[in-house]
Amino acid sequence: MSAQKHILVVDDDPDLVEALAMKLESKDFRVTKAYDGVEAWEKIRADKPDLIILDVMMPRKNGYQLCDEIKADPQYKTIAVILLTAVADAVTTTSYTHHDGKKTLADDYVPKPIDLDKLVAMVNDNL
Amino acid sequence: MADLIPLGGMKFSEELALAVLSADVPPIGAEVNVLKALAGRQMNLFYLSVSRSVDRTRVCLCVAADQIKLVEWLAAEAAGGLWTCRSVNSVGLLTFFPHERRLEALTRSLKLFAESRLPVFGVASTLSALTFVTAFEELGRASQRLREVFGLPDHHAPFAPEFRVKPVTR
Repeated sequence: MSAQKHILVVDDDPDLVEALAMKLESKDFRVTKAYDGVEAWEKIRADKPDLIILDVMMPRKNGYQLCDEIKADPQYKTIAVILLTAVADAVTTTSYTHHDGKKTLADDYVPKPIDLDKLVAMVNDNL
Repeated sequence: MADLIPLGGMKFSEELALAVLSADVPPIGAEVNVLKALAGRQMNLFYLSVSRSVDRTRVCLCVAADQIKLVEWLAAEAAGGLWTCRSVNSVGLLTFFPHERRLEALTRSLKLFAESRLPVFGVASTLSALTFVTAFEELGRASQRLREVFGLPDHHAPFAPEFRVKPVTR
């Protein structure tokens, strides 16, 4: 019997975190939650996840910064990271888009609004 | 003293304005027309609640402080004079999460707002969060009182927003 996989969901939108957690828990994943990049690092160090679903636009430490730090750390660089990115033509004042997401070391990215079934498939593909 | 209820976080909004639109026996879906009019102007709604009774519909919404006149105009003109609009300037949203469907989180926070004589212009729950509409200048005091019953993480993010997403202007 395989151990339950551990997913860390990081987003500053608590409703999105809750919705993702409910979906992933229904698929038998163990889920922990964080609401910004600093808190996410604390959770990663306390209980290393198998995969991180990471929003890019967050207070204190954004998803790009956190992804760079994870992938530069020998202890954590093997954790799969899926970025949640905004749709490029829907916002003008930020650079947190698909285009910028592709420049990172993330293993995959998913656009908002999120198709939950596709996200679960992506999670399974990256574990 | 009762145990602190653990929270994941608490947030304040920027300074907003509240519009309360009321109509007696409006046609079904009349509020949708108002919302479409607001969407047509690409207005961000930071808070929205709709309540209906047999003879009255009430829409509460919060917008950026500089957009309240436009809401009043839309309510008075674009929506055909159906709605009366009452507005309150300088309000703020205090949101905490996750409530994890604990009714105690609502009852204890409402009690604190009442005991502290903090205004509550609106309250709404979402999947994860509980949001109070209160006076902008009272956000600090409200959060201070709430931390008497709710426990936040040690290295909590700042309450105030650090960025604002604006819609595309074409």
